[in-house]
Amino acid sequence: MTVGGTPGESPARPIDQEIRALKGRVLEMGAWALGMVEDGTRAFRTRDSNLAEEVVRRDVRLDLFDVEIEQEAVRFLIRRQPAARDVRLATSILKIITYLDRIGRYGYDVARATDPPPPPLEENPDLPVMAERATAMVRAALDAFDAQDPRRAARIYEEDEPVDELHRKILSDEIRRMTAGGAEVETAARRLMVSRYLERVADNACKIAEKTIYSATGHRRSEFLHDGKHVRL
Amino acid sequence: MNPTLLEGAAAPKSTAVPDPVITVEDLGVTAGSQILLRGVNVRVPDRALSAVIGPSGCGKTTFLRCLNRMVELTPELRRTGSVRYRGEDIYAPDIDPARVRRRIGMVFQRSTVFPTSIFENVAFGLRLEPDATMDIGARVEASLRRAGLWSEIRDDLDRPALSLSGGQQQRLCIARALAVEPRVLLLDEPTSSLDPVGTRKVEEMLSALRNEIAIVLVSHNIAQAARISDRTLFFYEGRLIEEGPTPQLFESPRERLTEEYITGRFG
Repeated sequence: MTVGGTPGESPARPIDQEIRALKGRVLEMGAWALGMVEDGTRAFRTRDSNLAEEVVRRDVRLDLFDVEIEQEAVRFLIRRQPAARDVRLATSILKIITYLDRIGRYGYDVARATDPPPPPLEENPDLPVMAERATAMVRAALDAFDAQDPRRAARIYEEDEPVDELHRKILSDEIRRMTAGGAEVETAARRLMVSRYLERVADNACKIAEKTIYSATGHRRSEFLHDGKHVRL
Repeated sequence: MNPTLLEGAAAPKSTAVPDPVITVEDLGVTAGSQILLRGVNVRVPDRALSAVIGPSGCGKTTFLRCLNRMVELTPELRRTGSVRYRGEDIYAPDIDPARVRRRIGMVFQRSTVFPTSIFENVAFGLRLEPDATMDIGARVEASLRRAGLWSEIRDDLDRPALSLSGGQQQRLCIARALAVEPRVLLLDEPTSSLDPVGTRKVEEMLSALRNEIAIVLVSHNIAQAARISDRTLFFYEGRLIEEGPTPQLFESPRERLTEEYITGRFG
């Protein structure tokens, strides 16, 4: 009765290869943006202005990723006129690359806060913890996107509050340092900025997760959380 | 968690049609032992274009032919269930099928142009019911205008209709169907044999017309359904699997079968 396969078998379609390629490009951009945050943070902590400068230069490639993937996604939409999960994936990618661009830009901003290196100061131990958690969230968001796994994506939000909490703690600790005055003021001020950038990295990981939930299920996050049974997984 | 909130989220988005022009209840069609349609319930909205999609043999054309009693012209088909036009059972014994088909017109896959002039093709239905007060010329012009053909053939009304291009012939058939002022227009893959330009013109015309009357369009072209319809009905193996507002159905179909069909995984 049907031509070209029967439902349920999910035979390979020519479109699947293009979807895999598009997703691959997003993951590539994600790795690039993550590298900028990780290395930017390392440069800041180790006061390595050479590394900071190198991270700043990576911004050009980050912009290129944004432009190229946008173009590829638009071409995919025109050529394939996709529907359902295919169109949701393509439109989600258009948003996700903006979030990845922002994440990379925060890495750039952290690197910029290194130059020139602020006066050395005893390290705030919460800052590397926060960097580790924020980047782990981005990594998890990219994994969930790759697997189109809405449950994994929904869990990323649970990581956001601890990062916000660390940000508030760093804020109060560094303000305390600043009130002590002297050379500590400048370093503390820059740490405040870096903490703020990392907090935004975590927020953008949540945004990627949100789009992954939509792309995988057709539902917004709030619908998904309130209504597991209505959502096909 | 607040239970009302939970229920609110669980409720499927409304697909209700409050004031349907056609109401189909428990419609079934068989041909001998073969089931062509079963348990179909549909409310066709007025002043909107409903697209019927599904793989070959899913029953979409049979469904369309039930809406104006065309199905009766195939003697081996048996129909059960009801089809009501504005509350009136169109299959009731005292109802004249010809009257039904004037109210609910039909245009077929291949244009059925008569070997007469353009004018006479459109006037055909009007001449069947001679009405002394009717200005046939005015009605022909109005129909050709609604079918988006007037500006192209206004000076050639006496030309043989068969000299028109394929796309023009199809729009002429639509003009002929519109001449008797139906409230519902059924179209069975009207653009399947047209080139892109002809297809675009028919689609533009239907997009304008859907604000005036109810249109039910059977299409094997999924992109066309997405482009021009307000509601989409997806049939599979004689059953209506899913229906809803077109943007919703194409963005987030509820049923896996619908998803697999519109993403090209079968069909």
